[in-house]
Amino acid sequence: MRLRLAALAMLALSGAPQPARAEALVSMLSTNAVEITSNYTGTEIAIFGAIERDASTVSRGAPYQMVITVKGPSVPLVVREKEKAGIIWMNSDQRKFGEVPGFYAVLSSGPLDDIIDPDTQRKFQIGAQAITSSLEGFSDDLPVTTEPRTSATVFERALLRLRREQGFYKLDPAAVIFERANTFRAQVPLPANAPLGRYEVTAHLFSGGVLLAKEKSGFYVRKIGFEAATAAAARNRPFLYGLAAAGMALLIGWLASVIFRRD
Amino acid sequence: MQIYLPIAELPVDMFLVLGMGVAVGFISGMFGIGGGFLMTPLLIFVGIPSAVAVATQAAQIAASSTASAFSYWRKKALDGKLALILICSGIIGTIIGVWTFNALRRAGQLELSINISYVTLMGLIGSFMLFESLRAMSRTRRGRVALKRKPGNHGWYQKLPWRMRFPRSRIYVSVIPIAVLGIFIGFTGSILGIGGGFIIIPALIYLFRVPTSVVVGTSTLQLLFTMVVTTVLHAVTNGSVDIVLALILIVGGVLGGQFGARAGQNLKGEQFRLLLALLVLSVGLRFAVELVATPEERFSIRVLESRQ
Repeated sequence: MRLRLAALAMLALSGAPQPARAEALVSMLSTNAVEITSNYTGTEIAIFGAIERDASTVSRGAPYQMVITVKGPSVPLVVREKEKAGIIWMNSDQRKFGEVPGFYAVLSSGPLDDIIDPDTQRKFQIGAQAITSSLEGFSDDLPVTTEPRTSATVFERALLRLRREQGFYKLDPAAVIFERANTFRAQVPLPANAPLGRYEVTAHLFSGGVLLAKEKSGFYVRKIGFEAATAAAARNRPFLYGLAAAGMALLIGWLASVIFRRD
Repeated sequence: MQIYLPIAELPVDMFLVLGMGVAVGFISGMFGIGGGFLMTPLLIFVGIPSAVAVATQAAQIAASSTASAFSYWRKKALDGKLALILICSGIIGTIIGVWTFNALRRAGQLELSINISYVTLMGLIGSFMLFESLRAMSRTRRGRVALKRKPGNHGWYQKLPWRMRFPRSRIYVSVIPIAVLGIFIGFTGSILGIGGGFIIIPALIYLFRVPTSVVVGTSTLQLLFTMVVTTVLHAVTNGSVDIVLALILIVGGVLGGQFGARAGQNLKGEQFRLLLALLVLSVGLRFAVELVATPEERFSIRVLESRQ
């Protein structure tokens, strides 16, 4: 970590002289690929960064604020609601969400609403807007509205709530820590069953509610080795894979009958 | 110790799953049933996606039934001819079942119909067995000998055409009701993700008067073939057989199965039926509670399988 920070500081210092423009952001991830092996139980991604500025950069009245979004690959979801029909409970209504981020975290250096106003949040697709465009906030205590209980909002709220409980959606206003005035770091836990694929990390630098700089990076979550080979076999050679599974079952069953033979 | 499952795509506690395998293996070895109706809910409870749970425990049942089928084979405690007819008709039932399964899934009420079928099936079979075994036990306690098989006492269904002699089971019955039973087992098995041992055993005992000593071995042989076919079918149609999960369950299952088989041999016929009845009834009750009780969480999220 220290090495990386030092490297970032060097990068920030050695930046070529620029005209008096806004700050630039340099960020780095602790890994470019989360590799899943048999002992994988989830992981934590660290994000390091520095705010590049030189002598000609204007001084800001308000302190720097960081907002980092981590967005996982999209997954199709269905949310179902149970209702009582007679004496039994059954799924009565459902809503499909075609493309919802399978993982979504908003890490910031303070409460999101203090850094940027809701309009800006919507503009930059930060917060719940990135998941479902029609929801107002990402907080638990949603404003009491007079609008009718439309199925859309009910299902969207259920989706956000459940996915947060399961650790797939995260809003952490204390995750980004400024080590010094111009360097920051953040950590985001990735649950073990987070979807596989490409994750997009976007770092936003704000000051006084204005976006100064933005930088994108990303990482992959993927299976390697035996886990990757097994999944590929199941997908590409399903018949052979099935025979192998059945064969394994028969072999162990036969072995057991030999080992435990009592007559 | 956590181990990552490559198909289920999540880590599980290896010893927990192993323990589940041993426990279900014990019960299945004891009663000669597959135990799918116990294993599937357990796997789903620890977070395994239901498709993976149903598909993978088929492999586990195949393994534990292989182990017991061999020992019944050596003891000649199975009827190969009877099993063959059940297997062949079972395949027909499986095809009809898979078709129905897909139709129900399209209608969006698969989960509900599975739960209701469990409750109905297990409630009926469990109550009947409980009632019957209690009656048999009270009869023995009153000093009377348990009712022996009366050779001439046949139900109408046994006298249908194509009667066939099954020397090992000491029965002479029409093939038609046996084939119907096989089709029914295959059908319910593919819909509910179970082997159907808890249906086939009482059916053979009460409907066809097959001796209890032959019933368990025959049911085991039938299970073995059905589950091998089911494993391959699941792998081909939905790719949800998790070979790592299967291996853990198999090892646990065959270990438990050996001890279960030993325990089962010390049981008297009525005790055997009473215990099996109570087991079937309690699982049925659990599904009934799930249907009727107010859920803690009314909403549920399911990740739709992305089909390549």
